[in-house]
Amino acid sequence: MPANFTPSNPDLTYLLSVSNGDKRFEKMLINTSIQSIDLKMVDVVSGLTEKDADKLRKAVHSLKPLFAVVGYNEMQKICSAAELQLAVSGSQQSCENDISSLKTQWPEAKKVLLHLFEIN
Amino acid sequence: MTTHLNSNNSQSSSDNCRQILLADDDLSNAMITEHVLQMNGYSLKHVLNGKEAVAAFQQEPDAYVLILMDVQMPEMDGIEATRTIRFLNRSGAAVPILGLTASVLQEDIQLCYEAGMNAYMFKPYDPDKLMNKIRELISPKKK
Repeated sequence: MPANFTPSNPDLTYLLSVSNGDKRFEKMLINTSIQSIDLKMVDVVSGLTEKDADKLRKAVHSLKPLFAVVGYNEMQKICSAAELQLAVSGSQQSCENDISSLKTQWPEAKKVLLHLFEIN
Repeated sequence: MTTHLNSNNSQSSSDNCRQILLADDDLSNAMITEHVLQMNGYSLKHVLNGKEAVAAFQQEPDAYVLILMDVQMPEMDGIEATRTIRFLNRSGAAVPILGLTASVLQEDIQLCYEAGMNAYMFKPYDPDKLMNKIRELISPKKK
């Protein structure tokens, strides 16, 4: 994934499958998920800084379903790969490229979501 | 902290018979679960970690038809909470516990069963699959 990657519109298939057409619910769920992802990204960064592989593994583990909910399945796959690498190697160095990619992509994806769901 | 996501206005005795306990620190997943359960006539009590799940179960051991237990949670994880609930409940009819996980590791799934969970689902789950699994697990108790 190039560093200047710009996310396309999210795949909202999953969101639509759970919302049953409730637009208010969709907006609330996306807003809550964005906030949760922001918090977990803080854990990812501190896990890297502190060289705490367990903290990092837990954070990327938690991010997987959140990225699926907001429709960024590629980022979910990056988290799965990072989690697996951390479980196998026990070292944060094994997934630094994946984490770097997430850190680049998430702010752009978030902008798209905020715009799409008209969240201020 | 305990959150009460259930916004049902009617609290009939039949609603109480269909109450599910959800232990999950992931608020997005809790919102999804609440939405799906409400559409299917269940009420939900939501707690944020395993410790709170054990406390809620101890307080009202017969109040829940099923427990949805996330595996990775702060304070007490779903594995330890399940072991504790099974220990507390060993003389009575066991409440079904459905594990919720985003894990890709087979050993994590094995731990769920060893702790006493009846089944597991990957997060985020398909609403129909969730309901099918819940009905399958509580069918002997269905009223």
